[in-house]
Amino acid sequence: MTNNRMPTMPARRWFGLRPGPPHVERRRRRPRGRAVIALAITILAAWTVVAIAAPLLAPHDPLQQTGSYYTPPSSAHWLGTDQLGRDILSRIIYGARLSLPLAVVIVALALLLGGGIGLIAGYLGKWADESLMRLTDLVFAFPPIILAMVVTAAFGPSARNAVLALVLVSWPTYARVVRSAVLSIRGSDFLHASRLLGVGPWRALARDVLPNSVGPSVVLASLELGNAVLMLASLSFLGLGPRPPAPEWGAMIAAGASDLSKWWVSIVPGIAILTTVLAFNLLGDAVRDWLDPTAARGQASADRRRDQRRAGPPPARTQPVTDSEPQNAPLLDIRGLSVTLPGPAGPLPVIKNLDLQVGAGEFVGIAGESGSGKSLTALTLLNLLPPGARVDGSIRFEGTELTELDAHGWQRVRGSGIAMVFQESATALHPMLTVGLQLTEHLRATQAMSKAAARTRAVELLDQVRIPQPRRALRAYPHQFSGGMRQRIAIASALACDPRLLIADEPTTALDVTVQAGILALLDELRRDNDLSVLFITHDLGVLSSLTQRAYVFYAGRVMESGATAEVLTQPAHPYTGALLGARPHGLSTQQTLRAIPGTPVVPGQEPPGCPFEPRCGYARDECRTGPPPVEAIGADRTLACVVAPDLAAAR
Amino acid sequence: MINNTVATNHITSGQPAGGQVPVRLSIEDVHVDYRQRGRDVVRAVAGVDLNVAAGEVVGLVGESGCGKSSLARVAAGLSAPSSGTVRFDGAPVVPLGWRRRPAAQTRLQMIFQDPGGSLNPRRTVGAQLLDGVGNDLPDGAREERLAELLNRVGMPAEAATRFPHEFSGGQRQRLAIARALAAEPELIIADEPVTALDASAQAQVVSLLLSLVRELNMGLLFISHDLALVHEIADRTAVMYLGQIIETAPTRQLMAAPVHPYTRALVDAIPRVSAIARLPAVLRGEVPDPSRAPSGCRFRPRCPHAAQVCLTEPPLRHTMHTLVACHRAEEVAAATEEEM
Repeated sequence: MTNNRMPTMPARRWFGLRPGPPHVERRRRRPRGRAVIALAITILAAWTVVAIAAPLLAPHDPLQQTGSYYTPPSSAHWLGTDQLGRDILSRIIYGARLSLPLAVVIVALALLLGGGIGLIAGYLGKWADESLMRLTDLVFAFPPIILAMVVTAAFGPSARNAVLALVLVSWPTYARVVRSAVLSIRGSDFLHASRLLGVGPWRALARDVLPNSVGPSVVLASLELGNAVLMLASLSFLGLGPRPPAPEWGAMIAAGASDLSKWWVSIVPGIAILTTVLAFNLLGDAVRDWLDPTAARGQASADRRRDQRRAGPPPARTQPVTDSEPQNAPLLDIRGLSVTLPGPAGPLPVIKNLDLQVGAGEFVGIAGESGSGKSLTALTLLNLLPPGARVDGSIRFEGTELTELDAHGWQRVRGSGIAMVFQESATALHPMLTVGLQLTEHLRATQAMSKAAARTRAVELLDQVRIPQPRRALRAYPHQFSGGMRQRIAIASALACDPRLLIADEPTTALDVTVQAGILALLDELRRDNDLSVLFITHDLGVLSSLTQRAYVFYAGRVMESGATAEVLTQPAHPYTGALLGARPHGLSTQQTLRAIPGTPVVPGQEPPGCPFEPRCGYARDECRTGPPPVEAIGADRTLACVVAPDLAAAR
Repeated sequence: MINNTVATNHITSGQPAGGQVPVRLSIEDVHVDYRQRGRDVVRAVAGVDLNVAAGEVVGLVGESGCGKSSLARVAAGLSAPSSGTVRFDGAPVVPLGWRRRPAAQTRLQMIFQDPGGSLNPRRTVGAQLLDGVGNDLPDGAREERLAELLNRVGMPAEAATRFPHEFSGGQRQRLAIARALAAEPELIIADEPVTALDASAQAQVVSLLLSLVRELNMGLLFISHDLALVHEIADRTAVMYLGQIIETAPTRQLMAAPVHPYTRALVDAIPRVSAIARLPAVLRGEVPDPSRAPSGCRFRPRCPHAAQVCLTEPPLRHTMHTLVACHRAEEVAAATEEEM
């Protein structure tokens, strides 16, 4: 199983490749409602009770004639009698004793056989894998019900032979599922680690491989129970199941199938089969949802999300949406921005009272550890937050209040105002389409260019980001490029619509230093040539220093310190900035050593009442614990959120 | 246990000559080839010699695709080299197969890059740590050892009863270190152990590893793409390019006065914090496809100092206190000195 990371949607939508409305893209498989699952469980529980208590519940002997032939439902025989005058209700009740246990036995045996074979094939690999998988292919090549018919016909109809036949046709599915799970475990680090510790092969199989590979097959098994009931009934219907006079549901349908005027003879066992199969399938779905936590989200529709956002109007509401801005207004002006995400235990505040400005042609950096809200700030600027997010405060971009935009307005901003480059360039490019198609489709969709014009512009763009032989590159697929080249293509794609602001979210973190140096130089060049503003998100203070003019240091969704990058990094005012500087490798300096910051970053929702950094801060005092420190200006274009720092500076 | 004690040769180790230090891990002329259907053979590692002595921290630096992880896997015994030998305490390392690992070789341990994937998600931390503790110990002693291991990596004893997903990335990496320590290792191979962590967690894990190595007198082969980080931890560093080691030197010297043009490019590409914004230097070109490695010096197509002589493969030779695979090391060094 591959770790298929493909969050291409936000990127693609923003690149204008598929300008569909957001709710279409965000809709996911909705988990079954609790009521439906409860109903399924009730039905199965009822059938189980019926099967166990059959002798008590059945009004008549299911195998003996207790009335005349083919009596319609009456007070003596609630569901009528069959062609031999036997009570249908009693036969249905006794039939549950046959169908349900046999279905469970079929699935259990198939799981055991298929799982065992899959485990061996996956773990041993090589020739064992090769030969066992060819065997499963062979079984798969036959339609299952035909194969089961052939087997039971050959060995004679009986309950045992029907079960064996159905096991024989259904094991390969389990074998394949278990094998692929085992294959992914076989390459895993934790299996290697325990083998390196000297754990023997069988113990490793039992403790590391098996528990981590049964999940998918358990889901499959629960889904297959319904199928087993159906297949068994089908064989019985054809006279290949348990021998008469055993009360098998499928055989009972067959008895009435020839004369539909005696509808009760086949309808009643039909309903029995239908309810059981349906209940098993619903239960299987529930098991799958339960084991796959990613399927259990997404109830919040985009509409609701938009409503929620509207619920929190920005404070400065009285002004018109696009008023005349003063000449020196920044390109991007964020004031009092707060973002909350839905969490399991209520809304989680992730960005708190953020003020941030990016001037025209300015290179601004955001630094901080993971979870500090850096990336969420970027996503907020593109309206790409997950469903249920709530945004308060004001974001003005080129004089437009972004928090008041509708879907169409956002499309315009994303198309030509704000562009973004992600950390994983691979996820921003579609792996199955050529680079040329992705670039030109984008241009043609957003700027109504002709095919030829779009092509010329695409070559220009690739040339601008220093892709060698741009014409040839247009015909290539993303995987044919190295990571650094892919990131350049992603930047070209972001630049396609001449954005005013480029947001770069850790665009070089996944790259090697020499490749990173190239990308940084390119971004610097682009900024100079295109009058582009860049908001650069990074955790590397070295990158911050070499590229940006102003910097914001984030922690726990708050700005701890901001100002001119050189000042912030060489004369840090906030203890957190100082700690970050101390924790980074110093390169050439031989005196200093790494000073790790004690503790772990704050988890959203578990912030201390005072300064978020207080528990890890070496200078914390009582007043740090009373409330979050206010953001104060400490000089020209410099802010600080720390009550202790001024005293520290004085003491120095 | 056989301790292969040899006189440390300052030519092969780059350390001052003298003392008798047992070589724990010796990698000799190792090649690793990958064969893929319908493609050329990829030679990920093309003849590497490297030793790690007891108590020594050796850094192995290189960019992605240079073969450092392939070398790590072979050195730890996760897979077999295509040719060449890896010895641990003098005995050839047995590649993992169906059979249980020889007891003596469990003292060669490895720490992996991905903190999310290196612990079994369905077993408690304690159970996984105890895999490395001898079964012959009485239960009480096992519990004691478990608490001691967790304490060593700065985790509370209660961590033993919890599952990996309850910990952060940095904590999981400490637990992975504790598990490696359970086997009382003499040598640890750490393959990018902090790459996936935040700056503050990186510093914590690196400091922990370093203090453990010093305290327990282990050897450590620390593999990373981050030269600045290796500088903080390694006594001696080897730089790898396209499957070969191109320079080995005491770490400080390597960083302060890199001889090989590639090492120099790596050092110059590190973004630095400074009062005056300065972009890191750019190295032209890209790492070539290992299946089509250039003839002669493999760095030649990207090297600013390439000359006619570079068309022949440079041997790893002793130049100016370091081992360098560069024909023009002396000229290049002289030229850069002039620059400064």
